[in-house]
Amino acid sequence: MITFSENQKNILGYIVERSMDTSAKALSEMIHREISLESPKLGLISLSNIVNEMGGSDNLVTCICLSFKGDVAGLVSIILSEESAFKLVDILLGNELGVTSELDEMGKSALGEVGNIVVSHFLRTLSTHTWLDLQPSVPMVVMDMAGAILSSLILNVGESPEEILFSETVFSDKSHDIDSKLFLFAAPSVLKKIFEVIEAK
Amino acid sequence: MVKATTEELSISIGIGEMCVSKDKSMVFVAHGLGSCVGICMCDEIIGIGGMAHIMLPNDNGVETSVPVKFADTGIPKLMNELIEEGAKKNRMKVKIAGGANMLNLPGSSGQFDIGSRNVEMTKKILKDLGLNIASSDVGGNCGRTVYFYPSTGRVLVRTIGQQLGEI
Repeated sequence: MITFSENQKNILGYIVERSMDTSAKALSEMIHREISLESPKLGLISLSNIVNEMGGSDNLVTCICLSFKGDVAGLVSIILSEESAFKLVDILLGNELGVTSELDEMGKSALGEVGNIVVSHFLRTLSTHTWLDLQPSVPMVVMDMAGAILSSLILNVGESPEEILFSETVFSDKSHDIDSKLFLFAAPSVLKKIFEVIEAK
Repeated sequence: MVKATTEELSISIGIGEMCVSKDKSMVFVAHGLGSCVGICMCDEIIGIGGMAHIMLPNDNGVETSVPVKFADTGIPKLMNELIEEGAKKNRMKVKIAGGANMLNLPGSSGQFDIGSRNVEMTKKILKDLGLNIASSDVGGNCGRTVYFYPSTGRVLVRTIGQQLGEI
């Protein structure tokens, strides 16, 4: 089992917070409307518990996913409920809330852009604090059953991850909060390495 | 492995699990299959069936503690378990579902379509065992939840945004 120390957790928390701040700025500039991003909770979750965290295997979720490679490889995904995904699309496209009721190409591309911004800021901040070269891919957006998405994500990591780093992520404009979760999937050796080097620097 | 003899109505079959039952009120459910494949086998004459939920094509001797996780070891195990319980190979009806390609991640090569590889291997193993596939719902890019009634061999498949369908 992989764990992190209080100190490692604090540094990670700082990295997440910093990246959320810069992501929020970039998002706000993109849509000309103020968006804030917060991460109220950070932790590690075991593979067996992660499906529950997503509301059960056949629960419908939206997954925005980017892989990364460089010194180490893995996947970062942002998971939202169907309702949250629609709300976020409405905010991004400047719609009245409730306009979006299905995820079309436009909506997918808007969510993909959120993934681009949030994940690349996260990886860049992580990279600054670890000196690891982390290159994100372009985003992919899929809406389907949590279990189906999750098992495919895990298989894409190659060496099966044991614990997954997650951060609750709340997008808000002035009047609405949208809950999501950001997950970092990586092989156990990669996660260990990240935890080691953030403390070393 | 779970052998269901109680009055429970449904048992969830997770990754790498399999289950065999004669109970008429029983339904096995594999929730949210992505690239995984659910293999359902039934001998209607004596009313027994079993389901296996495999995740990868072959074992490669890496993780032999969970043989059902792999098509090449899981499928023979399911068949043998049923035969041990009195099922006859020539009466076995086989249905398979799953093997979708959920993620088309940029940067990951096309050959990493694990769903297709799972389906290919499942078909090959079944053929090698001399079992025919009665019906299937495989491939595509949508997740599936599969309901299997072991005593009758009935298989229902649910995908998001679609009606429950029988295969």
